[in-house]
Amino acid sequence: MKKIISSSIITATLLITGCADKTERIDLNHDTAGQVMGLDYRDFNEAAGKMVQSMLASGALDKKDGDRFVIAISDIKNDTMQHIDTDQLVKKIRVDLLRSKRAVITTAVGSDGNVDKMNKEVRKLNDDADFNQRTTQKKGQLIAPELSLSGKIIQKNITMDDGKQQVEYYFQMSLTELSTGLAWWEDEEIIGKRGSGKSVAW
Amino acid sequence: MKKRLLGLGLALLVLGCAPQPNVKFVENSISSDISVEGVRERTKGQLKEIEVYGENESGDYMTFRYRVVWKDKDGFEIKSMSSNWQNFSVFKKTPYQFSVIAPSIDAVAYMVYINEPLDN
Repeated sequence: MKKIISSSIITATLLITGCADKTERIDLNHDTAGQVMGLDYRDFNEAAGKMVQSMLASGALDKKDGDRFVIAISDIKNDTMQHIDTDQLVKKIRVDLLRSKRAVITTAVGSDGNVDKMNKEVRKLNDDADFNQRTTQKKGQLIAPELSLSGKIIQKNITMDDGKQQVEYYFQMSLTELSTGLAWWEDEEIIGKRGSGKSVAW
Repeated sequence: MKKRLLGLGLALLVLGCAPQPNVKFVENSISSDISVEGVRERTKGQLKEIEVYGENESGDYMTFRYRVVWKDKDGFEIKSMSSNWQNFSVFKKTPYQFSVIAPSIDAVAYMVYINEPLDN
């Protein structure tokens, strides 16, 4: 009797595990999976890529002497119903701006998550006798930003006449010259999705 | 003589698959739907900018994808988000153009790939 029960358990386990879907690694270069109503990495890649292209093409980062602008990352607000870490968007933009050699990003000032607190911490060592003062960071060395990058992601949900749901995501960004407060570049990218009214986009 | 003709035919076939020196169709099946007439180049600030132009020769509204691979003077690829596939759509029998700016001042050479859209 015991043998019958244990063999039944083994058979059932094999059947269940045999039917379970295998976990697959996503091919980021050729992802043929269907779209989701929420925002996924494909949407962030698209929005960030278009923003950087727009910024570089606008000429806002063409400094007269061929030097680089210093940009601070300001607030990128998440005004959607999803829990999004906006650094997902900002990081991609930062990386490509640095690669362009048209700008450098300061981590000395900016919004939370874009500041490296070590910039301030190491300066406390100036009065610490335990540290060789020739190796500490001197006053007046930090470079102030000339431009600030800010933005917002907005979500708008619309119920269609046929009961389907339409979700519109607006990626809005501005590049402001800090000495004058004038926006040198602005752009908006819209990503729209339409799906079942039962789909949840938050 | 036959060999020469065969070679000439093969060369024409290969050229037919390559619409421009810097543009390549990933799937040759799209070559009957879309043409590439040329690539314009200019320098903006210190960055190279290209514009690919052509026509949707089919009788349907169509969506394609493109990506641009940029290289530095030593032939090394410069990674950037402009190397990701981007969709572009064209109405039937209508000209199109898309422009891409180099991701870095180090970018001196490029290759544009045009492909079918993904089915998602």
